[in-house]
Amino acid sequence: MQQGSVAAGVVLAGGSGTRVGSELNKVYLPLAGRRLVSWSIAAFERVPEIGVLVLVVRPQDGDLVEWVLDREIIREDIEVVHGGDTRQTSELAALRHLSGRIDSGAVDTVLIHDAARPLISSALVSGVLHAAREHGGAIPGLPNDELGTVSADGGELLGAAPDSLISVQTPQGFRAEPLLAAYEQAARLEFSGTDTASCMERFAATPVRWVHGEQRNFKITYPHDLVLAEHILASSDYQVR
Amino acid sequence: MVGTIEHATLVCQRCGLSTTHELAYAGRLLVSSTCQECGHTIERDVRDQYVADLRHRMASKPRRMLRRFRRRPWSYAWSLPKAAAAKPLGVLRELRLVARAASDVQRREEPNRKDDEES
Repeated sequence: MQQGSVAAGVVLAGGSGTRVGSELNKVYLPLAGRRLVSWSIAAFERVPEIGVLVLVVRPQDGDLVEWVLDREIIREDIEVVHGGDTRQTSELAALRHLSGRIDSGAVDTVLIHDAARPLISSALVSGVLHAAREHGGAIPGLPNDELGTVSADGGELLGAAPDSLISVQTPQGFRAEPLLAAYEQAARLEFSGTDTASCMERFAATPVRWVHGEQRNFKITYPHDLVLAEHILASSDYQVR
Repeated sequence: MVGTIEHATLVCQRCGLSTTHELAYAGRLLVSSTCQECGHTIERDVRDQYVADLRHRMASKPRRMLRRFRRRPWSYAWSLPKAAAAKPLGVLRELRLVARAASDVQRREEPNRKDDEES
């Protein structure tokens, strides 16, 4: 790690699964008085080692982004980048935006987080960052003993899944240089992964460490997830941990 | 808040599909969610929480106003009269929403309560 270098946090607010029309990108839905996305940003803001904070957005969400940054975000140096149609191209856009600072060594590590997981804690951001700096890569996850395996045609239950399976969360953190190189190579080969780790597994030899995730760091998928998230935030007096 | 009604794509618990949902908010509280495909609705009686939330919002308003004023004094001062004029109507809308949801929840729970009493 170069002296004086910082980590960059990237919050993806592209909003996969959003239809066209008057619908709101779900990462801008209200949750306990703030928009989903601003809870994630607040968690990153509280980690001192995060020197750069990038918000990847869709161009059509411009007014909302401005509204959120004006009213809900304390930090005034959030860097807004327009993403692509997929998670992979949005991540690449953020990495290219940071490439000058990655090349110069000013940014040594990048943490990529999905804005649809608003209850991320600063402690988990910090944990992933430290593990990524030490080992090269780190992803949070929770052991999942409720999974089973079925036959290829789906007709037969084969038994419980191996004990070593985890449910993967974000933020996923990696040393910046190999991460940028992997994404550029993936772009050349038109590879599109499911998450940051899948791209790194394919195009980099960086060891990836598992960091214990958090139950509350779930992805907002169902309407009742919003109710649960609201309860959790209310019980902590609407404070980001 | 941009408005008390929002539409967004979420996965419906009943039809299992990614569909447009209408979400109604009163202040910081989600009051109801309705799948626009199958009509499945989640509704909550949030009367107690709403009162507490309204009190909290009123108490924290000066601090929030000051922060916005410091950041963009002119545009904020310009928007203030319109925002202040619209506030009572907004609160009234929220109160109606909370009352309606509470009455729907009670109406739905009434038969269950009667069944419990009879058994």
